[in-house]
Amino acid sequence: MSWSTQQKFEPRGSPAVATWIGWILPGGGHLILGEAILGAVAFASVMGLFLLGVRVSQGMVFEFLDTDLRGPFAGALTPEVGNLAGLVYYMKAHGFGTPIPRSWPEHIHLGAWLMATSGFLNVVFVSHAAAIARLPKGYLPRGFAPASHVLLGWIVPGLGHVMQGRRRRGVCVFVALVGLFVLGTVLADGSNLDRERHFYYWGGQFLVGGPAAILEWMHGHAHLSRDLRYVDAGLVFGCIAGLLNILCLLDVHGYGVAKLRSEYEASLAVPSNVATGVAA
Amino acid sequence: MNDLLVHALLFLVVAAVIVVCGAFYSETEDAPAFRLMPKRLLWLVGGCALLALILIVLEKTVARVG
Repeated sequence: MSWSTQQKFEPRGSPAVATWIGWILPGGGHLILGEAILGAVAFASVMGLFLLGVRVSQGMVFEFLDTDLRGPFAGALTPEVGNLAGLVYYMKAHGFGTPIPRSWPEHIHLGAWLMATSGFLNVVFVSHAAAIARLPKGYLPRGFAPASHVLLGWIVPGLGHVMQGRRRRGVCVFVALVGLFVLGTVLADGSNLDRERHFYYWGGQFLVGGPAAILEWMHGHAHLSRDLRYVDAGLVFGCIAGLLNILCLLDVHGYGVAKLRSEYEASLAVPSNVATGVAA
Repeated sequence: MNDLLVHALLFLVVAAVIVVCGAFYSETEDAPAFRLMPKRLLWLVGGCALLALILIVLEKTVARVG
């Protein structure tokens, strides 16, 4: 066994603690790992995006939810739950609005996307904090991987795998997930592309990322004038495609972390070889 | 087209996607993941078919309405 593999390095911190703290408060994971600037960047970008969404939607997004589904934990199945601090603030400040009906602001759907994206952006920062927590103290990888690959895998399913050099896997993921999502949209005749109509299904298919955003921009919020025979299957397919993308993004994260650790160990192997050469 | 056939086809599509993503998640290397897929698909489809059969039997016997 080489010197490098025998070497036990002390990790920077606990990935679980960094994940929990980062989930509760954006940037908190980086802060406890000693990366205050990254923590501040994470907090500013995640909360900034969230508050922009709240402002654009005038705090009315959760009024989409049917009255009988409203409750203290109704936000737990929304993408905003990725930014727990933002969600708690929103529920305190706006909640489900007033009992008096109001008309929706012009760009409420854009606001909904911004709020939901802030939740996913926080997941990306948490992925980064969890990755660097597994590395030794004082070692910070140059890029933002694997968190950047997680983000890319959300924007285009499979792109995170491709950027890691796993092209075949990336293409398979793209064909499977985008294909399932498009099939679902066809079956539902685009009625799935509306958070007002299908609050929770929308939350699932949001995780498909870019394709969902593009299709919603092109064909979303359409008026329906006929019965759709397979609308339920369409809604389920869109939602499942998004949820399965989470599985794929976990694969991207896990592979990226393993790669970072092996790169670090490879960097340790250089002095080991030199030392062996001197001894010989 | 026959409604049952359409539902069966839609189920096969979604089952295939679930199996692909599940196999990629559980296997880091591509080759073992691809090798796993047919077996996993068979298990998923077989298991769901068995469950459907049990539900139909229950519907026709102890859980019959009317």
